[in-house]
Amino acid sequence: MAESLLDPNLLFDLIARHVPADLKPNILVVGSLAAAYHHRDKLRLQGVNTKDADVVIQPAGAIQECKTIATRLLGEGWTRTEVCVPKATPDADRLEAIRLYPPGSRAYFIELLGFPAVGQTEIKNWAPVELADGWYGLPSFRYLGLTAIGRETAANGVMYATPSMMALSNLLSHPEIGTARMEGLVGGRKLLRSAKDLGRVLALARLAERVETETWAARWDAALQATFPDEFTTLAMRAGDGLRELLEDPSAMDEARHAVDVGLLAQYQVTVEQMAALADQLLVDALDPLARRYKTT
Amino acid sequence: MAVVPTAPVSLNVRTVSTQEPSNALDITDLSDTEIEGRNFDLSCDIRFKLRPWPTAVRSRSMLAQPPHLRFTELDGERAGFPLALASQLEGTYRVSRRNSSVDFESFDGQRVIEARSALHGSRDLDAAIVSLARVLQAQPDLKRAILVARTPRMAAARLRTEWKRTIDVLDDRIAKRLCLVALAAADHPVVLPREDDELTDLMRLASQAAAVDRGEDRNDRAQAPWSAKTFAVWEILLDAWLRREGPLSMQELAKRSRASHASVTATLHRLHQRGEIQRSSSRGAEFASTPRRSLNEMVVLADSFRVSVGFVDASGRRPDPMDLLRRIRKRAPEGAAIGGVEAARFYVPNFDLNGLPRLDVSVAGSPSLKWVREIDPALRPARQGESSSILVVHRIRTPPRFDKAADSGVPFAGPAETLLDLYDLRLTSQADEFIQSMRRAERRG
Repeated sequence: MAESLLDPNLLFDLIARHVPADLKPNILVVGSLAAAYHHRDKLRLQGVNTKDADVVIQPAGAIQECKTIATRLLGEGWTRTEVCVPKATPDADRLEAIRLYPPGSRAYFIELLGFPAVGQTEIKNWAPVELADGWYGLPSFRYLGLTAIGRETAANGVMYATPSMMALSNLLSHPEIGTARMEGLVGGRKLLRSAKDLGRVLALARLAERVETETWAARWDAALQATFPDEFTTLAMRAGDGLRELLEDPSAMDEARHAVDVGLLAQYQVTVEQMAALADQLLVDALDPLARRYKTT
Repeated sequence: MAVVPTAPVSLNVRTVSTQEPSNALDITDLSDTEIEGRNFDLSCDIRFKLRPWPTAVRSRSMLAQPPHLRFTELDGERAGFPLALASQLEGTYRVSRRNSSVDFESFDGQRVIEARSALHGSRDLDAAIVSLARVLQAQPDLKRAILVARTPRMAAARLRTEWKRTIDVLDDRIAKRLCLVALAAADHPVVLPREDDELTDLMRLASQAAAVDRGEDRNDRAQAPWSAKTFAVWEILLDAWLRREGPLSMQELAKRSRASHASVTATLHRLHQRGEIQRSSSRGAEFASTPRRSLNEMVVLADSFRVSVGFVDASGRRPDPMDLLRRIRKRAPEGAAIGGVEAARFYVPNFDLNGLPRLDVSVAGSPSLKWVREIDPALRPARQGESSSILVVHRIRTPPRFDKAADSGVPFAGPAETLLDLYDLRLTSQADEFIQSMRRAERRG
C-alpha cells in the first residue's frame, strides 16, 4: 500500500460524501484516521500517513448488515482494492477482508471490520461473508467493541472512536509483546504487531493532554464493566502488562517508536527515551489507578 | 578513572576535556565528615567549581592520557578570582545558566567568557581552548569566546607559544573567534590574538579581580571565604531584611542559621567592612540597603550552597510548569516549599511576569529526590548543556522559614530563597523590583 499524507478532515468529508446517508449509523471509523481526525488541530501541518480507513460495522455480530452494506456500496460504484479477491468457499485458507475504493477515486479505501459478538473469546475472529462474487472475511477483534463506547460524531455525521477507547482496545489486545509480526511493511520495516499497536497507544497518550489521560482510568473502568461484565476485574488489572513488557524490551520499543515516527507522531520526531517517558506517564496517570481499583492487597 | 571510595560517592562535575566521561561522580551529598580522612585516588587533575573542598583529598595527574574528567576547584579561597571577576563584569556580562559550558555571557548574547583561577600547564590550556571551541562550534552566531585566566606557572612567552600551537590546529572559523586574556607568571599580562579596546578593558578588569583575590583591595580585608554557614547567616539577614523585621540579635542570627557565634561574627564583620550592614543600638544587625555586592557573589555561589538540581521533561511534550505545579500541590513531600515566580506572586501580588517559566521547589536538608519521579515519572535530571529545566529543586541547609499558603497546602519558600530563584532565572529586573516591593511592604502577609 502506497503511503501519502492526507488531510483527515478531507478524508472524513470524502467518507461522508461517498457513504450513503442511511448507512452512516452502521459505520464507525477507528484506527489512525479516527485518531488523526480527533487531533486534527494538533496535526494540521502533518496529515495522516495512511490511505486505510478502518471502518467498523455496527452492531455487533452484524454479518448480514455487513453483507448488505458491502453489496450496497458495490452497487453504488465502490470498487474492490487490488487485494480484495473473493474465494470460492467459506473455508478457504485465507479469506480476504472487504476493502473498497470510493466511487471514482483511489485516494483512500475502507476496510470493513465487525464488532465482536458477545462472548467472543478469540483475540481475532474471521467470519465468512458471501457476496455475489464469492466469499470474503469479516475480521472482528475481541476488544474492538470498546471503541463504540463514548464514540464521537463529526459535523458531517460520520462517527468515530475516541482515542481513550482505541488505546484501551490496543492495550488489552497485547498483554505481552509476543512474536507476531505485521504482514506488510511499516515505513520499510516489518514490525511486531504488538509494537505497532502499543506504539499507537503511546501516540494517543502523547497527543492528549495529561489532564485528559488522568480521566482515562474512570472511563476505562466504566467501559470494561459495560462490555465485559464477567471479567472486567481481571482485564483492569492486566491492562498495563503489555506496556510494562514493552518498557523492558529496547528492540520492541524501537519498533514502537518507528511505528509512530512514520504515523501519528511523524512531526514530533520522537525518541525511544521519549516513548519510555510517555509509557511511564500513562502507567502513572491511567493504568495504575485502573488496576488499583481492584487490587485487593 | 580509578576511584577508591569506601562508600558510593558523587562529584558535582563539569566536564571540559575532549573525552566524555564514562561515569561522573557526585559528592555533593557527602558531609565533610564522610570525606575527611578518605583518600580518593583520582587519576586526573581535579578542580571543583565553586565548592569548598577539604584538604584530605589527594589527587594525581594523568601523565600518559588526556584527563578523563576535570573539575575546577574553586573553594572559598580559590573561588576569589572568578567571583571578583563577576563583580568587575557587572553591567556587561551576566553569570551563565546552570549546566552552561561557560561562566559568563554578554548581555547582547554575542560574547562568552570562561574564567579560570589557575591553568597550570599546557594540558589545562588545551582543555580550556577545546571547551570554548566546542561552544563556538555549537553557536556559530557568537562573535567571541574569551578565556580569562591566571597561569601562574606559565611564563608569558610559553603561554603565547602554547596558545598558538593549539589554535593553529583548529578550523579557522572557530580559531579567529577565540581570544585569551591572561595573567601569566608574575602577573605578566597576555592578550591574544591581539589587543583591542574590548580585550584591553577585559585585561584591566581581570587585573583588578586578581588584586581583589590577593586581598590587595583595602575594602576586602576580612576575606574569609564564603562557606555554607556564612551563607546561611547572610541569607537569614536577607530574609529578615526583605520581611522588614528590623535588626536581628547575634543570638537570633545564630539560632536561625544554626551557625556558630564565630560564623555569625565573621559574616557580620565581613559585611560591615563592605558597608552593607548597619548595627542598632541594641547590637542587632540588618542590611543598611540592598546588599548589592554580596548579592552579586551569592548569585554566583548559590548553586553550590543550595545544591540545586534541574529536571527536564523527557516525554517530549511541551513543558507545562502549571500542570507540574498542580501535581506538586497534590503530592509534595514533607519539608518542600514552592519558590521562584509562583512564590514571588504570593509575596508581591502584582509581580510583573506573565506565565510560569519553570517551577522552583526548596526542600530542607538533603532528602532523596525520588519524590520527583513519583510526581512525574518523565522528569529526569538535566544533562550538561540542557538549560531549559521545567523544575529546579534547591536543597537548602538552613532551617527553612516557609510561609503558609492561603489554602494550607504546600507552603511558599521565604523571600530570600525566592529572590535567589529569580536571579537564577535571570529575571534580573523582576528580582530588583521584588526587592523594592518587599521593602515598600507592597506584599501579602
